[in-house]
Amino acid sequence: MPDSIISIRHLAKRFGHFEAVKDLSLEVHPGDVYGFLGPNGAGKSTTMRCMLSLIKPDRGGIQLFGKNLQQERSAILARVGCLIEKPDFYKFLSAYRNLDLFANISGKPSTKKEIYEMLEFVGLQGREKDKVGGFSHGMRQRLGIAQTLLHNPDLIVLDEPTTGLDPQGIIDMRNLILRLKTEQHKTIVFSSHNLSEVEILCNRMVIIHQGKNIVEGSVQELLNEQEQVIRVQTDSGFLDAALTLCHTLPKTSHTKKLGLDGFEVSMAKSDIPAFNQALVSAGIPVYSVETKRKLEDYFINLLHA
Amino acid sequence: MIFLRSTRNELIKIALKPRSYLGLAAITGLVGIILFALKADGMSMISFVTSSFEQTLRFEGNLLNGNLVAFIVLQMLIVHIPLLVALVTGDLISGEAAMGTLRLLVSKPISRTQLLLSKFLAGGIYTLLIVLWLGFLAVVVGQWLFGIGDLMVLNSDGLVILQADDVNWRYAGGFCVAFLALLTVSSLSITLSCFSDNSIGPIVSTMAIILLFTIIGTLDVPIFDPIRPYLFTTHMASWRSFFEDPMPWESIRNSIYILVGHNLLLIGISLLTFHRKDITV
Amino acid sequence: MRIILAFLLFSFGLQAKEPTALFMKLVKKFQSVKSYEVQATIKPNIPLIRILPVKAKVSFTYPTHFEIQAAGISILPKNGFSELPKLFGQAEKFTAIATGTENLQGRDTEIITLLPLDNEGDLVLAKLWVDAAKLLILKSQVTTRTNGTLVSDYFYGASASKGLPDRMLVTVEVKKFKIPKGLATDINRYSQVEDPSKIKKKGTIEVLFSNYQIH
Repeated sequence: MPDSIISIRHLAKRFGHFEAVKDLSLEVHPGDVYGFLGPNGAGKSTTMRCMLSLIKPDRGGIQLFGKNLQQERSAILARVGCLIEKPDFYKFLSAYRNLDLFANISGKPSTKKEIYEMLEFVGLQGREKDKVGGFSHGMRQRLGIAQTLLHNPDLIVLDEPTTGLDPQGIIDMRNLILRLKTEQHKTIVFSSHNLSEVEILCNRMVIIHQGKNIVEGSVQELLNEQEQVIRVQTDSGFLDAALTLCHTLPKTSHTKKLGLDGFEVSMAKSDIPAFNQALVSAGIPVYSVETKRKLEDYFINLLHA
Repeated sequence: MIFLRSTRNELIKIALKPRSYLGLAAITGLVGIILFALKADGMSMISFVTSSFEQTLRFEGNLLNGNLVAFIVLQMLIVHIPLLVALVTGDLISGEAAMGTLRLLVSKPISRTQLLLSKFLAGGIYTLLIVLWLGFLAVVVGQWLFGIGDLMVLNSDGLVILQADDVNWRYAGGFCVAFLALLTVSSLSITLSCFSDNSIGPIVSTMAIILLFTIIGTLDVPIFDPIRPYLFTTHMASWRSFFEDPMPWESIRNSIYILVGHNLLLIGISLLTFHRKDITV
Repeated sequence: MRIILAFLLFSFGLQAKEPTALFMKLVKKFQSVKSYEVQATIKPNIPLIRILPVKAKVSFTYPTHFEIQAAGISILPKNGFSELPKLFGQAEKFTAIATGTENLQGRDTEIITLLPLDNEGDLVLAKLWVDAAKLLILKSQVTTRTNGTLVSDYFYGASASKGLPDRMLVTVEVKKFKIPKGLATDINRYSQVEDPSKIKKKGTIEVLFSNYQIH
C-alpha cells in the first residue's frame, strides 16, 4: 500500500480572474479521516473536485493510491466513492434504479441483493421502489451515502455531508463515518463547516484559506489535545472556594471566572477525573464539567493571523 | 464494457423519463389526425391535385392508398420531428448538469469520451425509435387503413407515379436518410447541451439554428448560394429524393456525405468541449 | 345556271352519300364485334407526370362499355377508349362530309368530318382518317365541349380485320399544373423544371394491345 492515499502537489486552479486554489499541497494517509476546513470560497470544494477529475487543474499534480490521476483516472476512480455537495439523483427514478445506474459505471456493478442490502444499511429499507423525487433531504443524503459505498471503495470523499440534515441525521451521519473508520478502516476525506464535527471525527486535517493550505497535520497535535480547557458549573456561593482550590492544585493553569457560578480551567485530559474528585471532596457542588472545543479558537486565530 | 453499460443506463433514463414519450405521443396524435382527415376527405384532396389534368386525362386505380398516405404524412410531419428529437437529446448533458447528477457521472471510472459517446448512441437510438414509430404509423398503419397501391408523389412541379412493388425499398432508403438528418439534429442538440447547464437552452438553440439555416436555405439571395449546399437543413428533405424518377443518386450521396460530415464534426466538437468542461455545478 | 346548280346539288349529294356510306360501313364493322378482352400496355408520356408503363386488362362490351383492370394507377385519355364507340353508337346524329385525303402510315386515307345535326350534344366536331380499302380508321380527332380536342392514331396488326388496333397513340393537351402547397412541401427542393415556358403543352398516351380474345 502506498504511503499516501492522496498526494496533492502545488495545485492551482483559476476560474476567470478568480484564483480558487493557489499552490495547495496536502497528503492523506491510509486509514485517515481527513478534514477539510476553511471558510466559504476557501477552495475546499474546488480541491475535492480536482481530486475527482471533475475540474481540470491549471497546475500541480494529483496522485491517488500512488497513481497519477490524469494518467490512470479510471483505475483510480473505481476505488473512490464520493458525495459532492447536494445528494442529487434522478428524481423520476426509484432509489433502487438510481443506485443500479451509478453502480453500472462505478467499476463494480452490483447485484440486486447488494443494492437492497446497502439501502437497508443506510436505513432506506422499504423505500427501494419509491421515486427519489418524493424523498426528503435526509433520505437523499442517505441514498447518497449508499451510492458512495455501494462499490466498496477504498477512499470516500464527502463534501459537507451533514449540511441540511436534521439533528438526528447529523448524529447518524457522524456515527456512520465513525463506523466506516473503525469497522471498515476506510480512508475518508470530508469537508465541513462544523468545526466540532472535524474535531470529533478527524485524525488529520487541513485548513484552507484563500486557496492555500495554511496548516495541515494531526488534529491532536494541532489542537494539543492533551491540554484541555474545561468549564465547570457550580453554586455561586462556592465559586471562590473552587477558584482557590484550582490555584492550589499543581496540574491546573489559566483559571478564569465565568459569570456568577462557573469557571474555566486548563489541565491535561488525564487529570480531569482527579480534579473533579477534588472539587467534590472539598464539598463544592459540581453541576457540570464540559470540555471546551478548541478548534474554533484555533481556526479563528489562524485565519486572523 | 463500461461503455455498453453506460449506454444501457442512458437508454433506461430515456425510457423512464416522461418527456421521452411526448415525442411518441405527439407523433401518434398528429399521424392519427392526418389519417382521419385523409380517410374522411382524402379523395377530394386528391381530386384537387388531379383536376389540373382531368380535362383531358383520367386517373385509373386507387390513388388514395397507404403509400400515398404515408408519403403525405411524412411530408407534413418530418419538419416537426426535429423539435421532438431535440426535446430529449438536448437534455442529455445539460439536463444532468441541471439535476446535479453530472458531477456524479463524471466522478465515476467511465471516461468522459465513453460517457459522451454513450449519450450520442442513446440519443441516436431514441431518434431511430422516433423514425421507426413514424414509419410504422405512416407506412404500416397507412397501408392497413388505405390499402396498398401505386404511389403518386405530389411534387409542386408535377407528379411521379411509382409502382407499388417499387415503393417499399424507397421508403426504407428514405427513412435511412431521414434518420441521418434527424441524427444530425440529435448530435447538434447534444453538442449544444455540452455548453449549457440548463435543459431548455440547448433545445431552444437547436430549433433556432434549424430555423435560421432553413431560412437561409430557402431565401433566394445569391450571397447565401455558396453556403447553402453545406447547410445540413438543405439535406433534411433528402429522403424525398428516393421518390424521384430517375433517382438522383448523386444528390443522395452528396446529402449522406454532408450529413455524416456534420455528425462527425458535431461529435468532435462535443468531445473537445466536454473534455475541457469543468463540472462546477 | 340551273344546270350548274343541279350539278352542284348532284355532286354534293354524291359526296354526301359516299362519306356517309363509308362511315356506315365502319359502324357496321364496329358492330360486328360484340365483346372482347385484350391485354394492354399503357405508356403515358405526359409533361410533368412521370409514370412507368402499366399493364392492364381491357374488356369491351358493345356498344360503349369499357372496363380497365390495372394493378396500380394508370393514366388514360379522359374518355378512355370509348371515343369512337360513342361516335359509332350515335351515327344517325351526324352528317358525314368528305374533307379531303391524306397519306398516313404510307396509306391513302380519306378524311371524313362528322358534324352534329343539332347543337345539344357534347360533340362539336369529329374527323376520321379512314383507309377506305381496308375499312380502318388510322386517325381520329374528336372535339367535345367538355374535354377539348383529342387526337388518336391507330396502328393495326393481326386483328385489323375486326377493326381492332394493335397500337394506339393518343395525343392530349396538358394545362398548367398547380399542386396545393400543403400537399407538396418541397423543403429546400429546387424545382426540376428550370423554365416553365419550356414545358410541352402536349403529351401522348401510347397503348399497346395484345392477345385479343374476341367473343
